[in-house]
Amino acid sequence: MALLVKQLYGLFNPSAPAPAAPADPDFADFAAAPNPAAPSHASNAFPGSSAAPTAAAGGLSSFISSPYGIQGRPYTKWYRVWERVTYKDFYQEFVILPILLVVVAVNVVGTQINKARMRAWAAAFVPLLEAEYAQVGQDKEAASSAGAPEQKLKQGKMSEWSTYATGRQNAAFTDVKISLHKRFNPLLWVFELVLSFLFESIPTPMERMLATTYVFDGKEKLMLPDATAGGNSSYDGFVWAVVHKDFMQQLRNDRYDLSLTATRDNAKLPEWATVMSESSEVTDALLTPELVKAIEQCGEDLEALIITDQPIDAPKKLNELVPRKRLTLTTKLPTTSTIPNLTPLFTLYLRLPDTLVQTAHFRPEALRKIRATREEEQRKIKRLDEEEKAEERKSASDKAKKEERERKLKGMGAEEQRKFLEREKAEERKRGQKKNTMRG
Amino acid sequence: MNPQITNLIIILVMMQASKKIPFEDPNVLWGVRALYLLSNLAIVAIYFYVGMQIDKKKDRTVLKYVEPAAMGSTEEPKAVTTTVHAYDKQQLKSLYKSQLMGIGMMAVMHLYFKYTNPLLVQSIIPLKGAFEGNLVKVHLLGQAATGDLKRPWKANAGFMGAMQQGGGEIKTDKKSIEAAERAGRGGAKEE
Repeated sequence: MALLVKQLYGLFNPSAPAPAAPADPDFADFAAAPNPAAPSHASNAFPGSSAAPTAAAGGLSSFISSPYGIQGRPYTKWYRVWERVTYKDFYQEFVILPILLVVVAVNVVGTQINKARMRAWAAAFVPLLEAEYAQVGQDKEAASSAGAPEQKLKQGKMSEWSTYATGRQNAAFTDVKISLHKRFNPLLWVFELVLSFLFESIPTPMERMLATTYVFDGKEKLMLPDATAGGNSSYDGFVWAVVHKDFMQQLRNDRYDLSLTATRDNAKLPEWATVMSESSEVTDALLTPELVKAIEQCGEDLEALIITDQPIDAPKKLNELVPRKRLTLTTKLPTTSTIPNLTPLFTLYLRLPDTLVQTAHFRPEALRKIRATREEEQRKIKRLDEEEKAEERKSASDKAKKEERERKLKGMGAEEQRKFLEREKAEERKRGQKKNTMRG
Repeated sequence: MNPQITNLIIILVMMQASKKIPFEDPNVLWGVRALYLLSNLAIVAIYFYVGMQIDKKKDRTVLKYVEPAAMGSTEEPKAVTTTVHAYDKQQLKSLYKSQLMGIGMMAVMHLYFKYTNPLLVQSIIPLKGAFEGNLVKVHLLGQAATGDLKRPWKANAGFMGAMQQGGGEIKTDKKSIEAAERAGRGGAKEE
């Protein structure tokens, strides 16, 4: 204590000799050191001079061409950064910044290209939807207002836009989704391309339009509580498709409904397209000259036009087989120059619910084959279901038997238990012998 | 002669020959490396040309066959409906893939395990194999796609072929195609 007082006295009395070494190492003596001393490497810069360094006068020129390396930087006021650093300290940034700029620029440009493609699509196809449906667009307000066509689309993922249309006779609603290349992230885009090359299970990234219409099929009253719609909007259930030949195998693998059909070339269609149908009568009724002409016109941009009432994923339960009628159109996403080729097909597609309600009623003989397929599929699922149930029953009864045996054993005395187990063993042995003799 | 027997002969001869080659000499080493790269470039060039020919012909004839189920699976055989064009493209893709596999394996052998001898054999065998492939025979050598070259092609014999094929032959008769085509096998999700 006395020492501390003495030291404090020494601080306030400059004439008193400063202590050679502070007794307390945690105590920093700021008052005694008003100016920080330059570290050894800095003070080396100006041998024989402790005054303000001459480089301070250099200003910006010292930044560009400082004579000093990292060793021997002048030690100046903290804010005089330009006197202490040179461009050599920023090599890393010289590399990083341009790359950063390129990444940002590519992202911006890619997003703009995608948006332009989306806008071009919307400008051509949203009016077609609007001509057929009362409401186009996900939310009611935006849909009813007469905005630009692209405002009716909503961005889902970065590379996907979708829209929705409802309010039409015979069709409950239509979902449209357009997916584009990931132009905003070329690395990801290339990565996906490479993966799709290496693995069959990963689809090749493609720019496409996917439209699905859910038809009423006579269920207006069920779907709309205040439906007043008269007339019958039902038609016969079947699976029928016009597909591009390059996609027919993939569709057959991926979709349960199309794997129920047979592929038949049709003389009316161009050579790149084919029909997947359950019955030739259906094909004859649906492959109208207008449809053939529209398909011919879209010049290989069509991927598939599918009319179905069966699920896409293989059904595992019986109620998955209840028909849900849908119409699907997938095409390559048209460029501005090919858009006019696809609009007739899209218009026909939007009016397909009406056509089906009018024409898709077939003779019972024609439908017999189709119905037989459905019944066979139902039987398959029932059989699987029953097998599963039988297995469950068997495991349950086994479990009950085991419990019964344990309960019995618990109730017995030691001698009784021994006898019981012996008897069990003997029975098992007998059974085993029987088997052996049978085999022999 | 059977390509497998000739392959075996080449391997045996080259193994003896490579004992005489001074791989320690950097010039020889780089020469062998260059030979290997050159042979692979030649294969890629051949495949690329074949790919161009396939696209040029664009034969959209429908091709239907029944693929046997994979070995050990309880699934039914799978119906395949494709076109000659798509079939050839798919075959070409698998050729590229197997070449890539070969190069990858060679890279590990040479760069990691420092084996030099296989470079020589691997410069000859794949190039020879490329000319024996059905696709090259049809599109580059101009042989007619009939008889043994009638699509769908049989999987090449040997161990790998047996592994893939397993359940038996590819069937092309009308009866089995019709039975399998409408079997409703699509959309099955793997769990």
